[in-house]
Amino acid sequence: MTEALLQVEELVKYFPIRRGVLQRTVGHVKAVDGISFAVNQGETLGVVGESGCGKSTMGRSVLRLIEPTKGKVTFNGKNVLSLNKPEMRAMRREMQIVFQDPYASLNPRYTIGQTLLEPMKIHNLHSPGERMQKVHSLLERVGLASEYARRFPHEFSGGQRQRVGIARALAVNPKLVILDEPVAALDVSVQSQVLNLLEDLQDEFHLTYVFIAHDLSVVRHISDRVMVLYLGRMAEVADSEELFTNPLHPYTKALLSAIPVPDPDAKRERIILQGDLPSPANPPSGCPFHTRCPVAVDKCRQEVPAWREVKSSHHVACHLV
Amino acid sequence: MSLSELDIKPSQPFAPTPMVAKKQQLKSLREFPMLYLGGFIVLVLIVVAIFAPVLAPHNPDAVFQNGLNANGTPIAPNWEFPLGTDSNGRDILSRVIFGSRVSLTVGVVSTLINLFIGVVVGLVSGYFGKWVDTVLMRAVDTILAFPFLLFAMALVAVLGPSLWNVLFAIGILGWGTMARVVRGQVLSLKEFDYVQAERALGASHGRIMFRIILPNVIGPVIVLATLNVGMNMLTEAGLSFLGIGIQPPQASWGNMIQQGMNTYAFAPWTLWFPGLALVIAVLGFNMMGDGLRDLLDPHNATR
Amino acid sequence: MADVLEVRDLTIEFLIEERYYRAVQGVSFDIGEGETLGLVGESGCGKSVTSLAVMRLLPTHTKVSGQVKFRGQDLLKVGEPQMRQIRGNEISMIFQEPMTSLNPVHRIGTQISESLILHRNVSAAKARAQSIDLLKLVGIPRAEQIVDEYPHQLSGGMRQRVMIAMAMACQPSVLIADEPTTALDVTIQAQILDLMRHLTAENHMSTLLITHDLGVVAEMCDRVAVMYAGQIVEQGPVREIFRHPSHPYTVGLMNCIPKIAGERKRLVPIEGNVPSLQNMGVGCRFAPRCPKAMDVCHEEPEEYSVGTEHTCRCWLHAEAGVTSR
Repeated sequence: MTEALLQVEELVKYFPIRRGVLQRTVGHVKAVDGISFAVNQGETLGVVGESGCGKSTMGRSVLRLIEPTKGKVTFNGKNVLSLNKPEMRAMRREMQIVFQDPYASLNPRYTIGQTLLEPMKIHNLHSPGERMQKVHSLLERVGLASEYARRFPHEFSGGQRQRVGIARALAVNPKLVILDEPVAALDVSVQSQVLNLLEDLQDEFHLTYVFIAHDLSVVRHISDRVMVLYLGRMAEVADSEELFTNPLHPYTKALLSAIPVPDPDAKRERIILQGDLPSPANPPSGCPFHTRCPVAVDKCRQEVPAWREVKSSHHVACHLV
Repeated sequence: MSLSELDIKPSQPFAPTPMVAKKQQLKSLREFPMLYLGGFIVLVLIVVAIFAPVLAPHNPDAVFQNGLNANGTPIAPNWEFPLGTDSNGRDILSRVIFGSRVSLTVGVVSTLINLFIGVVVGLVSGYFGKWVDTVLMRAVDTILAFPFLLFAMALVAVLGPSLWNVLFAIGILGWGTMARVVRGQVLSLKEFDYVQAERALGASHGRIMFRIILPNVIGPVIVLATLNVGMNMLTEAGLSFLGIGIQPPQASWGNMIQQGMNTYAFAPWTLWFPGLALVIAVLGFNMMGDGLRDLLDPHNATR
Repeated sequence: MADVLEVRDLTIEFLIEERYYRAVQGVSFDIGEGETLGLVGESGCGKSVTSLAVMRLLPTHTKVSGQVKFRGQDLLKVGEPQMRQIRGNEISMIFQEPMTSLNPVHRIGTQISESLILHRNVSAAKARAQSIDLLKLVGIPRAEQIVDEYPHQLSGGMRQRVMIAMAMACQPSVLIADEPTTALDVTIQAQILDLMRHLTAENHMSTLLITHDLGVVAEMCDRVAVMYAGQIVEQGPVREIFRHPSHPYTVGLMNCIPKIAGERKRLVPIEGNVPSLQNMGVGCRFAPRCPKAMDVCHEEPEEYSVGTEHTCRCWLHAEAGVTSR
């Protein structure tokens, strides 16, 4: 088996909750609570979960945009969390990110050209003369006219801006791209354009993706493997087809059954979960899902379920599987 | 504006001002009369200050033989002395004209000092957060807790009264509000994904702070700075009025008002004209500041 | 089935830089007693604007023409005081953002009571009791306590339930729901849709459901109207639309969403972008993006009948004849 490009072990991120004049820490929001996974070269790992499950924090912690509390991140054989500043800066060429909100992710004061030149300036790539050519070829590659380099972000639609965001990530020729809800803010017709673009770019540049999303159909479409998170913990990981045809964790089952199917005659056996997501500041004891789980037993309230491989490359954390 | 912006959607937390097209800027005279009137006053003030020697009919410090009535009282406005004379027999118009140099210099230079300290403190405080923020913001609280004028008086008293000391005292003390405003903007801006993207690309803190964040906070800072100029002019006048600012015989509106107080009963013009000059100048900067605020307000820009 | 709401030739123009632009053009639809009509389209297609026009909540400087008949009365012609009697009482609305649609400084109970006191003239004490009943109706646990809490103490899903309780307070005959579940997680969305389905069925409410999610439409609606660039391009019973989509835009929409089951195929996107208000062009508005565009598409198509109660605004179906309406 080839060695994983990205390996994450027991990643933890707690945000302190501070109160009072002295800003004493009175508790922690356990945004990410022990997540481990590996992504192979050229693979797409989908990460799904509802708001507050820690998927975005996880993505940013891997890139050290948020400093993780604990854990180990190995990228291409190097321990990312132990790198010093200059080493980390160099490492950022290899790992890039595309953000959700195309309106917030581009500097409104920079032209599209300036935005795309920025990464090359930071890493001193190409000669200044070649850079503009590179900008034009990047724009064309993501399906935008090269004249757009002179325009400002507010002149573009959401889909076009997202293409610019993707071009910026690609400007440094990364190996890994973390896609943090890249199509969630886009209209469906534009969403499909961007998804196709991402697939083409992956083939062309041999990219490895971590695709974070809340939309299960999108994740199913683009991912080779899928990881389901609940309240900062892993609920289930399996190959995409396996997970969607044969979900094992009760949360995954409920999640899949909750998606509205665009077919008026579809037979639905919907599992409607009761109640809301518990607060990650005060997660339930035992299995974090037991408060909403339709099949929970006493054991679930007391013991944290172990992470087990129940079938070949199908892992789940549930006492009842 | 594209169609999609018409659909009702949550307002963006920080809507950047779009680069306004030329066509739109021209018609803004109608939309922003305050800005134009204020800007006009400020422009006149600057021209007057620069061309003071040309515009002033007399030497401002010259004591005229014919500058006082027989009983030693100031002369009322006439053809030779359009705004009358003061109790020393000097031409008030010329002194008001030269006084604009003091007011403008102190107002603008001290604001530049405010701006520099305030922006750097605000940027660093907001960007790094944590203990850096705590320390710097407590310093700001402390500085804002002191009565500004008293503090400035004490400082000038220690340094000795002179134009440059007044300017320095006001500059070094008046940046608290600026720092707070900048910090507030930075706090919200640094969470924006385009700042995060810059970090993800490996940009240094300095580059992010000064090349990415600073240009985006400049709008509110300019508004505040403009209002600040008027404030600082008032403070200078106050100090000079109390006798610890600009020292006579050099003309400053503040010390002219002080001098006019003594002759106000029988020669009211000695108080009126420097007072009027001060009011108009401060009003000009305030109107310009308010006008700029309206202009930079995204709600106006997209109208 | 008597039509509760009849919208005819609704046209809405916005003033942008001293010119009027048509955001909605010639929109007509009916909603029968107890019926749910889905208004589907992408952002900017005019679906939200249409619903605001029905409620007469559009900003000033907006030209609205056509008819919005509620039980035979044209809402575009009634006076503002009378309109206030209708809003929240006969027609009520649920918005997308449960976070910003509730007033943060008032207690939940006060906000629900408001319309009861306003429209039903009940005492404060009685309104409070009814508010608790309404909270129970929308499935809020601990209703007696929640009634005295503030919006920030509730989760997004709970707030949307409160919004629904407020909308239901005066038992309106028409409910307009503008993307009611878009801001919610899927498991919470399932709860809210389930709740809405029960409430509208039990109270025979007519619903105008605005959404971009074809899945939500398939589950909730009796009939569907697909909007593109300010026009309804296709309208019909939900099964008809999903079984025999006729307009190339509807077909495109259905092909470009990833499926949750079945074979994974490359998506077939609709190329290009939605035209902006200012350069809408002439003829069929979808023609520049349409894979089947023809010469005739430079002229404006009308609504043609393509099946039982199924109409389509596309030249491909011109031979079927103009619908009589």
